[in-house]
Amino acid sequence: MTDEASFEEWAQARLPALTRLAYLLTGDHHRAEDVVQSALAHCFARWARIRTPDAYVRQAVVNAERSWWRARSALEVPRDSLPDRISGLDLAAEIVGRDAVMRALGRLPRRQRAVIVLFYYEDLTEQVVADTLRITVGAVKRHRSRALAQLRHDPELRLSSVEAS
Amino acid sequence: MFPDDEQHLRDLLTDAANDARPAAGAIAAASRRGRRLRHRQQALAGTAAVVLTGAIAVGAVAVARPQHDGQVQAANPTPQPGQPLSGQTRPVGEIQTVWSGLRNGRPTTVAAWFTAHDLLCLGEEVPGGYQNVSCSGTPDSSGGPGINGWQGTAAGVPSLGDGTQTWYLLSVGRAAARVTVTLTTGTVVTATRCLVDGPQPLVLAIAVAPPHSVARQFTAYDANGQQIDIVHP
Repeated sequence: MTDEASFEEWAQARLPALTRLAYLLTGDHHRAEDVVQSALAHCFARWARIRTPDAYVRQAVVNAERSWWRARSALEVPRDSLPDRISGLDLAAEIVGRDAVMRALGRLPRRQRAVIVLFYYEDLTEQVVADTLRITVGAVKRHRSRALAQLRHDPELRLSSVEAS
Repeated sequence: MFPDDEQHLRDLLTDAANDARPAAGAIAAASRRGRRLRHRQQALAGTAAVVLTGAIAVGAVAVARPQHDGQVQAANPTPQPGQPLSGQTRPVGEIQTVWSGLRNGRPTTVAAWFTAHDLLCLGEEVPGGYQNVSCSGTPDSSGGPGINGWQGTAAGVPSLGDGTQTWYLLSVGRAAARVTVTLTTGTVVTATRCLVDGPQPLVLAIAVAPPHSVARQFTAYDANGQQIDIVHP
């Protein structure tokens, strides 16, 4: 099997999971697509030399999201509240719940959001999260703790809980 | 809905992630981009390395000489001490390309950037990477990827181990400092500030350039912009 063929086979298998990870990190479908494509492109270019492609591409996704954020930060101003997102199924409780989660994630600082996603969604250890984000394990613990505290008091999650109940 | 326990949060994230759907043609598009990226990397091919190291502690300068012979293109006039720096100070973590242009008629790039651990890296992509990057002086032992891992090999810094893209620790320590790279074209590029605050001013500087690189001088400045070291390949 050629390098390109093996890359495509691997990428096909990983694409859905990568897309979900990027979506949780970015909170935006289109940006998630860009991030995944950028990460896969880097993997493709180095495919023959990558020993642990899953870890490499996860790192690449995080880096791509960070790069986008940096580029964006020069042009856009952060705001406290997120705009309403367009959805044709807003009345569906399930969608409302998902939306509330994404909004709550969106209110977290970027690093905290990444820690939460990598730790709880990707189910990585604190050490791997630290390596991926290039921060210390202590920083991971700190970000996780603060993020959890914020999520537990997030008004929209609490509101959704009330509504759902 | 309220994430009152961590398992619940996992479930919420998993559920929310299911909204994401892979884009059609994503892999084909990524392959095209990757192919272009690979071609660009191949165009940057170099051979052996010239390694410069400098250790600067509390104003004292200890400079290790090149560890591999390399040919460097003819020098142009060097900047005078105290010459104002070009460029601007960037926040830690920001990627900055400090120079790009043509070398031997081929496009090439010298890039500098900071990692999350305040490491400034300068590198030129070389197939196979440099395997024996080493440095005089004492590594910073404050911990963290890339701080303890640089000595001897490039191990320890994420993305260094893939054997394709080689990132070079240019400077690490506990004091603000800036490094400039003077190209044989006479252009002086500033690799911006680096390093973290701490009790002791300490800078370990490593610069790596392949033979025939147009990088010919590395100048370090302290936090006040005073020149404290110049190293020539």
